[in-house]
Amino acid sequence: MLLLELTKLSRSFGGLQAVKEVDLQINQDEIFGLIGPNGSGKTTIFNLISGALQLTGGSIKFKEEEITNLKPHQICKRGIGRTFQIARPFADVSVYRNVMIGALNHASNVSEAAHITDEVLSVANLFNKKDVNGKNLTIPERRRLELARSLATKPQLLMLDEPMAGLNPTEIEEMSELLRHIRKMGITIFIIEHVLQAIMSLSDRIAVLNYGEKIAEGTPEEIGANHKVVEAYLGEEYFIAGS
Amino acid sequence: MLLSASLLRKTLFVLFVLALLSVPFFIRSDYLLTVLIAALFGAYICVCWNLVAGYTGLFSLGHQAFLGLGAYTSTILYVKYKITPWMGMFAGGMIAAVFAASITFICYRYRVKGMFFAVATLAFGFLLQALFMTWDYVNASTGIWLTLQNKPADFFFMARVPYYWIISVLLVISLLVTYYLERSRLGYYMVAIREDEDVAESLGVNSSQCKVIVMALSAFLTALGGTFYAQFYLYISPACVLSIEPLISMQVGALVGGSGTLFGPVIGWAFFSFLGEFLRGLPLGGTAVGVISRIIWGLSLLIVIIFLPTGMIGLGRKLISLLPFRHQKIATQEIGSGISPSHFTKNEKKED
Repeated sequence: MLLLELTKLSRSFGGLQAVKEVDLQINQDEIFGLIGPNGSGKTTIFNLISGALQLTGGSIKFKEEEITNLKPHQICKRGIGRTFQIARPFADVSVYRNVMIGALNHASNVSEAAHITDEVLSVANLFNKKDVNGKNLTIPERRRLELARSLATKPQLLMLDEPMAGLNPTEIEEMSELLRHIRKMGITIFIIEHVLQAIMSLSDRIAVLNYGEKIAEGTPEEIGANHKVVEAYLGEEYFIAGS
Repeated sequence: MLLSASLLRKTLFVLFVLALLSVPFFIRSDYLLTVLIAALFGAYICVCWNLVAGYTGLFSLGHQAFLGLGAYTSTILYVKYKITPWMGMFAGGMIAAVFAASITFICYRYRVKGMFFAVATLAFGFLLQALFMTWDYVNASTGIWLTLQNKPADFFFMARVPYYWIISVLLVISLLVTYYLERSRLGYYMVAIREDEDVAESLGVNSSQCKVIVMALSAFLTALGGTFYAQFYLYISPACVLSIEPLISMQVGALVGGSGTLFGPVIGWAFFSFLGEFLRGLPLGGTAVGVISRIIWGLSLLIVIIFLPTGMIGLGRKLISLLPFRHQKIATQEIGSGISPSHFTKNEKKED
């Protein structure tokens, strides 16, 4: 089933066209990867979908409803959660309250939110850190908190902006496991990532951006074999190793 | 752990209320009661300001305007239309709330945030003061006198004790509002907005709505305090209720005591009231007392901003956590870790 549909999505900053008429379709229960060189417009697309930025052209549909240019909190209420590229925990607030704030999005009262929070904290393996303030977490913990917080909003689509940045190989493996687990919970994942090994093994489909344009889309195998992608992003080395 | 943090707070709260209410049974001196009433009034407006600045991160520098609106509305209604200040009080509260909500909404609409929000509210305060200074209908800069009379139905009492009860009840109400908010959805959202508004929005927080509600609530409570001020001191003018003085009291009390905490503003203001009375008792002469207390205000603000961003409450928590029989839990379970140092050095520097 089609969950998210971007049609001719465009955004320009003054003379710079950051995103050029991008079409994307994400299906329910998919892990969809978005890759591309720095500055190719990946995060801008996330910001457009989540309402942090306004579109200059095109439209966004979620569950066949038009959500173009809604406010971020309205988008969240509709069931789209997001994380940020640089983890931004609420610094002077405990991990527990961080997640509570997300959980209140879906819960009808505080005690229901507390219930959701307990659940999410154990999924994200943060339960023993629940009284620690956001600013006192390590990088992998921050990444997990970022994820837990938006997971607590009970999204149907979770958009993750480089959840593995700054993690070591073991931590990357743990994060991949966590993402697979989240998918099993029935949540569709739209992920931006530079850690290729992880995204290639996780994703069902991948789209590649370059200079704001979609240059390829397909399964990880198709992407790895695509000459345009190798030229723009992956580099010769990946091609040789892959082939 | 024998005593959980929330139980400790509840116990403290009940003890505080009991102590507050028992005072008139022990203290008969009018002087002491007057000092206490002034102190409680100061603490009350600190608590009101703390709701927006400490919890929500909306660094309002225009709260004296809400105090003034409250004082003027009830007084004008009484003097010109014979409406009892008991009613005028709520009319003033509503007017202040409408103004606060409008400013907050306009600021949100035009993306005026952080320090710029502070400056916008400051401008609003000055504007209102300038307007009242020249507006003949409200007696311009001369101000309005009320006559001392024995008319409880019109909020006038010959004795001090009734005023003491009224301001105590107001203070307890403001603390209960804070206490309840801390545990409510809105309270969680307020803290999220203080910490990072964009992230809060991405988690489903309607930040404009929250900010408008909190500002309106805080302005409403502050304006009730304005009416109390007018009825107690029996004189209001743009130079007192609309000046920056009450605003500075709100800030030093809340920031030094511990912003974003329930009792911080009360403790902070208690400290400054005590200090003021102590200095007045020394053979220094009136001007010197003013100057010295100002210097101490400024210094303590500086010290708190640089070394103790969580204020006296933060210091207290640190000390408690050092006690051998306690775990660190108490320090971390509270949300009130105050405004971060960067937040308020950014906004506060100009005040010193």
